[in-house]
Amino acid sequence: MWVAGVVLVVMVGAAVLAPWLSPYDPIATDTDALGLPPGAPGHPLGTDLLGRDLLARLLHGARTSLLVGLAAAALTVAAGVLLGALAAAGPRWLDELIARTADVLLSLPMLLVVLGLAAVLGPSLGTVIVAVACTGWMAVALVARAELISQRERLYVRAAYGLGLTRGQVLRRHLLPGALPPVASVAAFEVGHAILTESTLSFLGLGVPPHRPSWGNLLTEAQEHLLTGAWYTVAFPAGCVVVTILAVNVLASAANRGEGRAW
Amino acid sequence: MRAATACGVVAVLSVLCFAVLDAAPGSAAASILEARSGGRPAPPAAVAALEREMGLDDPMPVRYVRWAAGVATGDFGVSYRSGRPVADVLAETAPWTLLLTAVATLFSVVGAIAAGLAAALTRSRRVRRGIEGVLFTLGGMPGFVTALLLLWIFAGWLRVLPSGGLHRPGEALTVGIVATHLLLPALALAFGHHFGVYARLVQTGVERLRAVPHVDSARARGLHRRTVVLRHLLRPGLVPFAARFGAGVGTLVAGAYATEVIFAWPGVGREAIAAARDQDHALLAAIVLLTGLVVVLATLLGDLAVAWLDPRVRLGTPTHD
Repeated sequence: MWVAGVVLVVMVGAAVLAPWLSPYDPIATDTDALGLPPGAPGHPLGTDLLGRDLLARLLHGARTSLLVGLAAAALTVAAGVLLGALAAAGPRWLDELIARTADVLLSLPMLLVVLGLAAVLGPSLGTVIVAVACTGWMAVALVARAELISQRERLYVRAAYGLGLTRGQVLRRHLLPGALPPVASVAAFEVGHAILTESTLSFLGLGVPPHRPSWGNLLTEAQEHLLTGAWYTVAFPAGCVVVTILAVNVLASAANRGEGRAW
Repeated sequence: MRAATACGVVAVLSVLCFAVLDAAPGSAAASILEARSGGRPAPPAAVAALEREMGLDDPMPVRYVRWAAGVATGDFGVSYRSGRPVADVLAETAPWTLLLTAVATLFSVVGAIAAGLAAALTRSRRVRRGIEGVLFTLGGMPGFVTALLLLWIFAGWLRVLPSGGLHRPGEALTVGIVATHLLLPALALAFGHHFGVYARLVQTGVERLRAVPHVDSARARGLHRRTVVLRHLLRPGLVPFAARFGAGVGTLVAGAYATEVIFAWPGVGREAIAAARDQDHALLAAIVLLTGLVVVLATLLGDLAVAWLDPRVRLGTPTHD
């Protein structure tokens, strides 16, 4: 668990410090350094066939991928909590509507929904974030709704109503803080899900536009070199995606187990 | 009851499918004219005329009903990109996707049961830890990374399997050749999508039953180990796995999209990705709708499998686990 935490801190740190860690511009081509192997002088991870420094591309890719991952997860959780709260507190037909919509979306594969969205909105950072939120809010909303409903009848909530607090005040002061721990443990998994979706979409050419490096984009470009000996162009970004998702999953499982105790 | 829900899902799916694709920016008529004239933008009058001819200026419900009626009779319209009927494109590509998905499903089920059983029944702590570690790592790998890894190992490094396509150019299409080309994408599809989750479900399902009285009693009656495992551990132990797998077939079908792109498999998924990139809405709408239908059917089949495995579900008695 500590290892996972350290890995994530290093990843985020490397992404934030990208311009200082590598002197190269991730999209500048250098005709004197085409297709260098890892360990070449000045280029620790080598360069690609256009002479772009792979370390710089990897670090700047981490910026995009982690940013999209975190932003998408944040939007997912916000939308999920909002809809869950509406379902729990709103009129019955709204509850039904949200539950049915969640059912329909859950019974469809994520990629189908994302594909439709990507076709309509066109590939961009925003599309990826919206697509992740559209396909991920259901889990958060279901947990938030269940938690809010189970708390609604607790004594301290009824006491708060008895003291004359309005519904909004009770929701903000008493219900939402209580619902936070289970939502947080779902949210942690959503971060991993978001990073995975970003890399898959970008890999398929439907996510982050190609001129902006992201881990998924790097993999698309590198794929054709996989069988010609330049395997490292695939291995580094793939390794980053896998290690990051594993680290997030380890932390999320830990948060899941410690739920209620740690909070 | 289940079937009614499924019908509702399909209806909503079709409306969503149409509405989302219909709301796309850009005019299909304009892009057709542009393609015909070799990239020059068309005059607005010509665009409007073609739109009227194609019925694109009717109100949305009219267009939805026309589209749905066409779909019901197998008419999915014309693919904007290639100018061919969508039904033809689908008839050409769908069988290959079905083949790929079916074989991958088989690999996934057999592999998950084997790995899960081995992890649950082994007495060696090291073996169990090893299997669990591999499963956990697979769980963190995006499907396409698993595919790239397999591609590199078997096609790049060992050079024992072809890297993609259906057959080499000029080579006859025989069962053996297709099978060798099918092996790698099917493995990638099977191990790249929730395989870790499935194997873990088999493992925990079986482990949970090991200390249950009916298994002890079966063992005490001197039944053969194989009988105990197959009849008393595996069948009830598979219930959580089967319940999850039915819902997960959708992921497998959708995962076939990326897999087909990587291995240049001439299936529906490759068409879908290309259609999404080129905004070929008629083709994309048809593929999304059909994939959704297959997924709903698969989920129903999964429910039936659970009912067969678990008599309590069949008889409607409440389950307590």
